[in-house]
Amino acid sequence: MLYFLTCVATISDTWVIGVSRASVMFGGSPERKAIKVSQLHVVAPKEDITWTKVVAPDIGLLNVRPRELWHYRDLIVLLVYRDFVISCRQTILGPIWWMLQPILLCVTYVLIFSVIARVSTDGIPPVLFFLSGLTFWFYFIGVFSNVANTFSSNASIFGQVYFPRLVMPIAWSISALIKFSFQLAFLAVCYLVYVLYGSPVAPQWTLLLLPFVILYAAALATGCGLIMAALTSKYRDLTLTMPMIMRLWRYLSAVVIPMSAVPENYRCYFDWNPVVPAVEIFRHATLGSGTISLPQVFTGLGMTAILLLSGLIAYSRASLTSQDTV
Amino acid sequence: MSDTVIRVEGISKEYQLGVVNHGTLVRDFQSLWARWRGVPDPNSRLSNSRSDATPKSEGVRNPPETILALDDVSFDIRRGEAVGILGKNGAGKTTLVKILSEIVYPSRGSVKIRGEISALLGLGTGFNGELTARDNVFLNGTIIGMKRREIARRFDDIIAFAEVEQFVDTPIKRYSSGMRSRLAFSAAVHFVAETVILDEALSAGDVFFREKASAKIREIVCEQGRTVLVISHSMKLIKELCHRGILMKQGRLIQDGPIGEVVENYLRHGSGTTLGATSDITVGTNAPLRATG
Repeated sequence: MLYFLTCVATISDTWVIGVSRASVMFGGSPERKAIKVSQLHVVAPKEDITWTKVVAPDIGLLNVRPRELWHYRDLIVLLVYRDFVISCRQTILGPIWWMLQPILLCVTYVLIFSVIARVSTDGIPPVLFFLSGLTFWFYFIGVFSNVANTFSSNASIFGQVYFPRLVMPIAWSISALIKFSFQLAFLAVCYLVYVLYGSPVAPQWTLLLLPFVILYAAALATGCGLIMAALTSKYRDLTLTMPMIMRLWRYLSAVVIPMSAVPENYRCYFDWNPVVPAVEIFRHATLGSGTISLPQVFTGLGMTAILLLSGLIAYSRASLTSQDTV
Repeated sequence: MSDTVIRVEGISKEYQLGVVNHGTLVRDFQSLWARWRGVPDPNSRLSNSRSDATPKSEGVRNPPETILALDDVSFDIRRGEAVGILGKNGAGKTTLVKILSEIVYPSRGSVKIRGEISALLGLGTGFNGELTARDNVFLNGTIIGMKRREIARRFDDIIAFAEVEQFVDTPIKRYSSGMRSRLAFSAAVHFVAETVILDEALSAGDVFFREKASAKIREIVCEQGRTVLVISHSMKLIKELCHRGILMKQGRLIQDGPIGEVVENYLRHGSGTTLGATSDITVGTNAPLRATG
């Protein structure tokens, strides 16, 4: 009996230590934090290490606090949920609207580029060709434009409460993923119909790369969006250029015109567009067409890393002053 | 010293008057260039003279109009204190509170915080009409950094206090404005941390609910070990809730002492605006005060 009690005591002791460690790691509840503070205090009575938070103008270059973001993970989940609910409530078609947009644009492109202008689509049925490009493009651009509007669309919330501002872009790229999966399912259905009717399309081994392509697109779109958000929080008129940038970018990203249809001597300029390899790999994965060149992929990866990093820096600087300038 | 919860160390906040930015890219680059070289920013009043209010602007043709919303403010707040912050409109009270709650950042100086602070600056942050009361309460709670588990524990109390039990799963766009503000108030007061900042009128609903609401606020303030900062133009309320007062004038802290003396001093010298001095808690606009610029 005595032995049993000792065992329990030992176990509960270690458990308590475990809990207090966890609360140091993840913030924990206020009561627990108070205990933590007083404990630390006994050890070092005159040190400043007991401060939970310091608000100062100088925050360093890259102010991303992963632990704090992790603390706010429930908020990210709820924001994604909110986006989904808002776009589905009180609508007849609900999520079907998300498919309608690529479909209509696809029909337009088929009419203009295949029927009238007769641009090559690499021997792929034009509908599938445009639909796969647009599906990918709408994910990319959805993340980009929403992230870019973070400060203006959340000004009232940002003016009342502090939370890590990076929560918003993360939530956006996840909720865009939900939309994307609906569109991808629709693409798969169209694809099956074409295969049943004997079209020469087949998915390739690159299908295994799909998760990485999506991750790449999310990182790239978020990076560009963060830079744009930082700029628009200061210079408002840049929001007017957004639709223009997005449209031009689409035409230069192999969404409409395949890389193989671009004249050889202009192709080197497309290497500087980091979206191109992603679109081409995505299309290669789903339809088995597209030109993938390794140097292009590596340039794209490098540019994405640079854009994301500078986006994070610019965004964390901008979130310091956004309440003063927006 | 040992139980200091908030330490404000020489914070200043500079705002540009008129247009934000330096108006032109040229001035922005000028500031940036100066910062890179490590010389004082010709467009900043702060870097030229720390406490001198007159800008020295050699070499700049049009000295930009800036204002110091806060000017070298320092104080400590210890655990369990109830402090009232007094001052006329534009004295820097709201800027101070916004810096304490990390919504804006000081231009100079620092604020050190121990534990959690909840700032009730606006009610119903993040509320969305399409969402139900349940979803909104959870969203509102997670925005201020709570875990879903903690919110779930208090959820029934929140709904009961707001008296909207019947409508928990109704989108709040169908709510009357009274119901909505009761829900917002209830959520806010149930999520408070050990340190609370109350800005201005925190009340909602009809006369009966208002009674209940002010009782709840008194309960929060009086709770053992709770630290409270109150901003209000109601001297009656401040005198009742606080025991220490801080008087602000044009961004400077001019008095820090027992609440009775500070209120007396404020009323004697605060020329003109006796408007709010007699009124009780009222339903205020929840819009956050904008920067004077």
